[in-house]
Amino acid sequence: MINVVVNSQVHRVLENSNLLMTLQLIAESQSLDLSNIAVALNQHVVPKSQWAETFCQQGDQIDLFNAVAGG
Amino acid sequence: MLTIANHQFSSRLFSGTGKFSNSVTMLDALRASGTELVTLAVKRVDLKQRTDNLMKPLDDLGVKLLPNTSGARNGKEAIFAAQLAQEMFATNWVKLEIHPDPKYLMPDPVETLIAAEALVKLGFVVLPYVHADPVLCHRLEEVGCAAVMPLASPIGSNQGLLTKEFLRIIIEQSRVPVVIDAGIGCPSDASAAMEMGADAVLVNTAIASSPQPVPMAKCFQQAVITGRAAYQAGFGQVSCQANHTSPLTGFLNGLS
Repeated sequence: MINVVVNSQVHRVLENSNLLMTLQLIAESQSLDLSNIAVALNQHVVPKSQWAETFCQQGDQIDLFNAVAGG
Repeated sequence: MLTIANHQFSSRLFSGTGKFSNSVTMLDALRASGTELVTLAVKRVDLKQRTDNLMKPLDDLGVKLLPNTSGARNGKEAIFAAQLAQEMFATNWVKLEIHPDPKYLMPDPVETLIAAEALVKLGFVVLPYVHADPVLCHRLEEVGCAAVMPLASPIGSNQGLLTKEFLRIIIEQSRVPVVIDAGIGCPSDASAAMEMGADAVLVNTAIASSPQPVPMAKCFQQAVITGRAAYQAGFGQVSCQANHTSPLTGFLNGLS
């Protein structure tokens, strides 16, 4: 198992987990809809098309963003 | 028709989604305004709090979404926000706003110009929010911005067209659309901006903070249409002296 930090929360995921698997795990445990989420891995935006081929490392910082009201 | 980066708008009133008391009122007000371009912001998800999905109802409304980079304090953060927004909204349009000062939210001109140039090179359609600075607007046009969005007065202040004379210069000089953004407080401000020849206005707080946002949105729609029509019709000359519109003494001639 490795530790990754998702929006400041530490999560334990299997070694060799890809970003998609990690996000699905988080989404399930937090009732989060991934359809309109943007993701940054260590402060670099990872397009949805690359989630499955991006592998998580110990200590990775994953940040999830969504749309909010604004002018 | 207003064209920005090959996209045509029949409404010259752009709006935002901030500060509404609830999402039903927001959607009703946007519908009443007739707007076709609506701003949104990007925020880090709070995993402890559930939030409404804003995008689905806005998609259903059929408006084009314009994500902003609000919260960015420098060019680097703004580029990051734009890339997140591109991924989230599937659009390469971005309202570039960088305001490091939380009190007056004045846009940082240096960082905005740097970020605008970088974002244009990355393929974004950049609409920068800036002070009413004609030189800066010209520089932003030169680096490839699709429009410029100079402020009328501080964001959310409802103070109206405090920068009017500088907006006039920007409108005169600009070869890209000029969208007057921020501080427009009432429909007559919007109308005055359009009468000056602005291509569009962006109004959020004045609608959202009205006790009745939906009728107010309708008033802004009418004000923008009227202001634009007046600009197109053209104005009579202003003179210092009175110039009578009726004969003054002729009807007395012959009496005595």
